[in-house]
Amino acid sequence: MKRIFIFLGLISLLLLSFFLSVDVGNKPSYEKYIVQRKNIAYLKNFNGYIESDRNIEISSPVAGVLQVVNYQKNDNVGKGEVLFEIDDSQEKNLLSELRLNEKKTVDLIRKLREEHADALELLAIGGISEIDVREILFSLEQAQLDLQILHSQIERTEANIEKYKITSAFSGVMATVNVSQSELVRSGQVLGSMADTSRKKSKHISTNSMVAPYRKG
Amino acid sequence: MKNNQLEYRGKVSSIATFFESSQGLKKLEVTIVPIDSLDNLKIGQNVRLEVLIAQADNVPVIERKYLFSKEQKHYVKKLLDGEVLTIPVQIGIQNALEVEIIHGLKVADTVVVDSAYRAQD
Repeated sequence: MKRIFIFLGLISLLLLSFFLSVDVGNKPSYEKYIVQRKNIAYLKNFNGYIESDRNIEISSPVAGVLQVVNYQKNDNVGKGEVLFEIDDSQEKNLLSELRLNEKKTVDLIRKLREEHADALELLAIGGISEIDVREILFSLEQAQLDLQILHSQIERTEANIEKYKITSAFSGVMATVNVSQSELVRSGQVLGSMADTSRKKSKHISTNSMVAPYRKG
Repeated sequence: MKNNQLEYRGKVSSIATFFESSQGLKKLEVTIVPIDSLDNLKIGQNVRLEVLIAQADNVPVIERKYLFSKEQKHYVKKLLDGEVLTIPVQIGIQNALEVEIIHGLKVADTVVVDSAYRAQD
């Protein structure tokens, strides 16, 4: 009798395990997805910073003592504002001298013209020789030539004086200031640099392992 | 470019490589020129860049979890007439959520994944 119960127990266990396995097989548990047309994008995130697209170095066009430094680092600067002023007293003295000479030469020309006119009248009545008249004319022409040279020297000196005031070419920020007041600067020396705040760009620096993702455009 | 809640569009304008001797690393300097005005941003300010690496429009796409890889090949389980078949596929653009299918599946095909899905990549 005991053996019969053990036998029946084993049979029922076998049947139970069979039904359980059939049950699992009948209920496959899947998640479904239907392939569809879509837009897809691959985006990658990085950290960057804002930089000016236009940075220029400001060099001194002339040598001399720096009299005024109007802006310091990070100061906002408007277009055309004077950034640095270099002592221009020598050029101004030269200009005064040239203007004085110009005035003297103009007076001389006026005088020589009058003399020449008088000489021509005298020549007509035989009161003066032709050689004397030619000498006056030669002096007049020489003075007129001197005046032309003086005019070009004045023009050049005035242009030079402009160089002693260094102005900003655009609105922006003083990125660096390398000099201080009363400092003697050389011609071509970099006094500082400016960044154009109206032209910005973003920069990101990465190690070479990130080369692959980037493509211009 | 993102700063706080503001977003600005731009374009990669140059990629320059340089060697940083102190770290012994070759590095890249990527410059992005803005399309939108950056008036609200100051020079020196940090921004978060979201760079579009690749993009495709109107292409067959599946969710990433339906794709599995084995020995550098990609497969999906396709449901066909009540049967689940494992088929190889060629993939294109992929992101964290989705994958473009170039070959192996067509639109309206059904792919499946076990509920007890585990990432196999």
